Amino acid sequence: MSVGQQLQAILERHCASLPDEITSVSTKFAEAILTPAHFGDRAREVTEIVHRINGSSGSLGFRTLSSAADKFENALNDSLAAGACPDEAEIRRLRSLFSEMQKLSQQTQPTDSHLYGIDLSQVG
Amino acid sequence: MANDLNRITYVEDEPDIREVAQIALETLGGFTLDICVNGMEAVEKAPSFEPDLILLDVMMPGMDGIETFQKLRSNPKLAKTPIIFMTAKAHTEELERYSALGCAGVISKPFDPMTLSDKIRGIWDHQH
Repeated sequence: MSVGQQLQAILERHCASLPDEITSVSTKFAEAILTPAHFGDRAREVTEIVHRINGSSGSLGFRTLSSAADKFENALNDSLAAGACPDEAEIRRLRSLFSEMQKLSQQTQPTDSHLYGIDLSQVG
Repeated sequence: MANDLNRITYVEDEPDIREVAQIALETLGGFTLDICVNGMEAVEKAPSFEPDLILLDVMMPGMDGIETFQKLRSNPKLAKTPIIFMTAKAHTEELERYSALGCAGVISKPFDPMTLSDKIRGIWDHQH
């Protein structure tokens, strides 16, 4: 397998893993906002997954999705820093940021990455 | 030459990032890599690998990058090995903290695999 093919396989595997990651975020995020007493613990779990999506998507060249994940991660961190379960307005904002990330993850294709199909033998 | 950068210990827990960075560093950068999936593995393997430089993710489960840095530094074999942090938290406050620890530099995540090797060489050149 050439390096280009290896890279392509990584991109395809990453895109294939996104639905499960997003489902996990969705489940834990719902638990966080529905059970205020456990908001902190659940929100931290959500943040860890979103941080992973942010970092891996960004480094694999899926910049739009990474940017959306970054906004959601920052908002979650802000809510956690506030130390209490967020109010309705903040929950609406978090929901909106999650929805945006979810929508983009569903649209993300391996070919969206600038690394897809790149000929590494011509680089450097 | 003593100042050549060739051998890098790379510590990253995320498989996708690890694999794309491996391609970038080995294929584009021409480096010899020793890849570690967590801080503990790096602490165990780095002394015998004797890297010229260590590339260390900050946010890892279990032993995070800061603790790993301190354990690596406490080994006399690695006491002067340049260590570069890779982090999504590259804000002023964190940068000051990493600098105070004595790291050689910081690379922001997400990184661009196409320029990763150049960034590492830039930090290396600045050190030598």
